[in-house]
Amino acid sequence: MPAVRFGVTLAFQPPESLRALAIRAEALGFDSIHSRRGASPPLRTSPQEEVARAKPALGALRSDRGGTATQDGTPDA
Amino acid sequence: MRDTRFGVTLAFQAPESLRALAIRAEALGFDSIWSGDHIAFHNPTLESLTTLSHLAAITRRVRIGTGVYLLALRHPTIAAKSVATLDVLSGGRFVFGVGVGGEFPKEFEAAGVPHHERGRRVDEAIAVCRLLWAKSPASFEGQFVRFTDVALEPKPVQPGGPPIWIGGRSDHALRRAARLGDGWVSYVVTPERYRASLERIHAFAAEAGRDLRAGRRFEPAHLFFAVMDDDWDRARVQAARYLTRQYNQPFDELVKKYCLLGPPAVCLETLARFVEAGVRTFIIGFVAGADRAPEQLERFAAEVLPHFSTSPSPA
Repeated sequence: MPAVRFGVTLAFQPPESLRALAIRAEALGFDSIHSRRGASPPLRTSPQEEVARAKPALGALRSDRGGTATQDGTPDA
Repeated sequence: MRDTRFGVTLAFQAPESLRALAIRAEALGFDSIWSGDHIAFHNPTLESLTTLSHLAAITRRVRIGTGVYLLALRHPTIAAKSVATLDVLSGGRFVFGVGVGGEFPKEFEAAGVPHHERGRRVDEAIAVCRLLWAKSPASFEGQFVRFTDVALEPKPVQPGGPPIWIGGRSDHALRRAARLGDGWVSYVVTPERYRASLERIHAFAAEAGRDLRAGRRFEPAHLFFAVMDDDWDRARVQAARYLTRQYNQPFDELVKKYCLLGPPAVCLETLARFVEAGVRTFIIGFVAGADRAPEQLERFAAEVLPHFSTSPSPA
């Protein structure tokens, strides 16, 4: 296989677990350590597919324009 | 001397030196480690919360703090999130020193923050931080920030969030400390002015209907630039050279009045006058240059710290 790198993204957990995982990942040969983005986007199978509106739980962050959200969260015009 | 704590503030230097100093400061019995804060300044600086997060990972006991964080330069919600994260990662060891700043207007211009709004922005940002640290979901309607039903999780380890110590010497700063602070951090003052300022803080608090002796302990702190040297004049010259470069203004005369200089016996006398004036936490900034920082730290720990009794940091 061509040169491929593997990183690991670490979710929220107690600081001691976070530190232990990071140290272990480096020792095991992982190439990188990432912090996961806070909010998962609504998933879709193609760029043209409409996705569900942001849920009310997102509060002030939701669009009041009734539009759809693209995968990166910006409202479509 | 009674109930006095010592922290050390670490200037910009190579990461390995920074780490070594932090680890050594903890081992030597310093109570806290601090970082100054600027976005842009006369000389290079590291971002404070990022630096302290790095140092929190390699220490276990010492408190870590910003001395002081220019809160108006950041969006309050982002600052609240970063501080909460740092409090979690450090196991509740963070002290949020907050200042208005303003002596370097370019950093306000770069951050898109009108210089003249910085005081009001800090006041509002403190309210935003405390709300988001304590309540989920939270709503806020202010002059600069508005949101509804936002939950900032996880909350800081320290209930209600880290203590907020207000920095500054002006009457505005003293009023802010009196109304909103869990502590006050002065710098470049005499013991006489320190005592008078602390009295003003208590008076301003009383005006605002607040008793600083009740509830969460109010911590009077002082940031002290220091050079320990058996030769007082050599210490003076080193401090003046360092601070003149750091602040881009002449410090030749100022260091005589405002710095902790000279042999241990002289430093102890100076510190005693500030303790008498009300200081309970000293934040020492060694200004003999990065190459002398390890020696300064060791000497201070060996010849000054043993003369003070300490108690656990206030929550």
